[in-house]
Amino acid sequence: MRALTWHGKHDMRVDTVPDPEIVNPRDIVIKVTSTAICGSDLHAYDGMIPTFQAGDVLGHEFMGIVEEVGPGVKGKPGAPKKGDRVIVPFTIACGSCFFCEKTLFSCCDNSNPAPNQDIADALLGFSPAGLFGYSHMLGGYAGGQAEYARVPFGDVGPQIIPDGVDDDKVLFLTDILPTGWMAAENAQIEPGDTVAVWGCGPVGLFAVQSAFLMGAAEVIAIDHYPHRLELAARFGAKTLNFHEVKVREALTEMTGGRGPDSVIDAVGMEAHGFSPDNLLDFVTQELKLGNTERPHALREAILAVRKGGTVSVPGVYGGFGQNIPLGAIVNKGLTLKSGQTHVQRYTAKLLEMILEGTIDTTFLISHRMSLEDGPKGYKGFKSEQDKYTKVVLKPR
Amino acid sequence: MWVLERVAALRAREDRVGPAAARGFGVFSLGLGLAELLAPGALKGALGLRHPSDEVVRAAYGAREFGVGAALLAQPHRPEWMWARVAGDALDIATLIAGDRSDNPKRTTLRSALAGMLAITAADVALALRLSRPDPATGLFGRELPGVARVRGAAGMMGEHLTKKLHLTKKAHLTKKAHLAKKVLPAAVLLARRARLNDKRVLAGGGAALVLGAAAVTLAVLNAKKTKGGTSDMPQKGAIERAVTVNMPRQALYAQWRDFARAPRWMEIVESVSETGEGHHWVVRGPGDKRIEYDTVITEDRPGEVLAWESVKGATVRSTNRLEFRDAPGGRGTEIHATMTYHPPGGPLGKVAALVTQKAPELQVRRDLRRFKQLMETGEIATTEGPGAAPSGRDKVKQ
Repeated sequence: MRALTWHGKHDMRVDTVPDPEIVNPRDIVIKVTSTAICGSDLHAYDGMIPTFQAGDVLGHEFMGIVEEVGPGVKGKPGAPKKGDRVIVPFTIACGSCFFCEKTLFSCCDNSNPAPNQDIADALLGFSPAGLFGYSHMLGGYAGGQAEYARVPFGDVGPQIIPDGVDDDKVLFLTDILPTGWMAAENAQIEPGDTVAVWGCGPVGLFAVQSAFLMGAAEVIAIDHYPHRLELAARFGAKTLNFHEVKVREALTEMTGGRGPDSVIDAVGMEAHGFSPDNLLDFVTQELKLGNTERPHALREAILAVRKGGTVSVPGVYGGFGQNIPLGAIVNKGLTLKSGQTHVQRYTAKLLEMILEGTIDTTFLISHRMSLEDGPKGYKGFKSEQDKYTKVVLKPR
Repeated sequence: MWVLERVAALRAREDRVGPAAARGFGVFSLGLGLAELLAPGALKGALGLRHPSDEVVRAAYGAREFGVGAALLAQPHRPEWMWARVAGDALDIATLIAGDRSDNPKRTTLRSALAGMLAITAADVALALRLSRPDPATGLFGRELPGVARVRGAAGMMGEHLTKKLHLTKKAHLTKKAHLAKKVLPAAVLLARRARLNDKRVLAGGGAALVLGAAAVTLAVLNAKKTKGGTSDMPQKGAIERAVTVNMPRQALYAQWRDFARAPRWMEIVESVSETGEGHHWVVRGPGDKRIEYDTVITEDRPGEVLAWESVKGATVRSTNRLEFRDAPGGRGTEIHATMTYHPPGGPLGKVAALVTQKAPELQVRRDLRRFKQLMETGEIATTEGPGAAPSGRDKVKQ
């Protein structure tokens, strides 16, 4: 089959690789109909995520038609059958361990193969769940930017999509929509709250929508791409362009001197901008001087949030960052919440909201391309972020 | 105090291990040197080194290797020869790095050779350092060049100062180092094997880390207390302990383990286990996929609580194993506590080899427990093996 593969920094290729097959009893194989490039794929594209290997198939936002079902899934009530259309959560979860029982699906004990867990242990303390196409530390599973994909625990993750609902409408249930939703949930929003969101990429934009749905009175969106800020404004957010204003000063002004009740860092490890802290991070990150992150947005968010406020971090960080304002966390009494998304916890509920028309998803897609044009999609999504808000690839 | 203690320890022990190991390296050097001398082309071909002059150079390398080997055999007490080996290692590493080009068809082999070279260098450095310690009789660094002795003396005093400052006893110091190395090295090796080593900086950095790590492990292993006695007198010190919590009742988990023939399902390096009457016969894959066979007997068997077994007297692999099954607090399944000791064939170097090749029991016991947990909780063992399942078409690491 054809698949989009990683070959190093800024080197994506479409290769012919072996077709996936059922390996474990609870596997299913799907024929991919739509797959998207995620902002977190760009971290991999930039060579920022450790333990990728040349030839790895990327992609963790994908959906398609069930082609083959393992003996452990066949006939199981509620499990997908051959021919079903499904969306596939990017977190692989067994559904029966301590963590899955607590609906902490992205912390599943059993989906990361044992040797790969050793790598995660060394870097993170304990291994989280395996993910599709997102490094060997996190599973080493082939991703979904391909014609076919093997989906482990096919009876737990995939959500069956009713006929007649367009792919574009539901594709983002795989990652960014639940991620934006969980970011807002983690922000512990109470009715009347003001929420500030750093980064108006797909996750930030879904966080804006979710925050309003959870009762936020005001949402302030921060970015530097005019088009992305426009999209945020479309959902009713006030906007701040950090090239035009000093963000912390502006936020304090806009919140009557108190600061936002909750802040969401939807930027992650590769912050843009030319602030001194970010430039220093850039140098130490590039030279690998004990620093893997550029957490400018997180620093700013921690300092900007009001006393006793909540900091929610959906942005991806991979290793060790420097100069985090710990004093502000302690002395302002902040709550910090984060995590890879427990996608399986949200898919059914969010699907319903999409079908009801409560949440808009298709506004995000700026480019639709064939799988063969995937490398172009990466390049554009990376270098023309104002034009490219979301790239969806159609394998056939 | 640290230096004095060390001198006293040396005096008491009469360093026999060091020179013995040096002799071992001597034989190794002789062999490799001879191979390089007699068939320089073969090695060159195997590693994809392309310059015609490589053959001549390789032969010269062989002569050097052979010479050092002979010297080591003749004078295993002299650290100079070990340092000569280290210098030679550096040359070899430089040659290999120079050959690490994207157009080299044998790049993978070359990198494996490089990894091996780094590990060997680490062991060489460790041994050279050991042989360079002060003379137990005079307390002087008499076996080194005078300048080196002075530097080492100063370094030793700084070490002593640091040790005092950090309130570390020497033992704690070493145990800590060994502990850290044991944790970091396997992960580093795995990373190096899996990560894309596409640029020289990464390679150099990883290499340096590997050398340091391997040196620390070798030192720790060489410094480990020697214990005498047969299989029934296993030292409990240095036992490997791992625990895992499984979301299932004790009895069921115990029953799975008690049926030893099932073990290969979750024990990665175990090929088969069969009943022998008194106990079990194990066939496992060691470093380099070498087949190792040994017999064990059950030493403790309390259904649902404890299962322990150990190797019989005179077995190739000497090991003790104990599994304890306990109810996790709050009704959250079962904690399995595994304790094991082992002595692989090849002694200390065997242990290093096992670590580097990912066959070490400290790794295996942890991974095996996890695989067992996965099998029990989900009915399968997570894997990226199988057609199209491994993300990379070219590199399917056997897991």
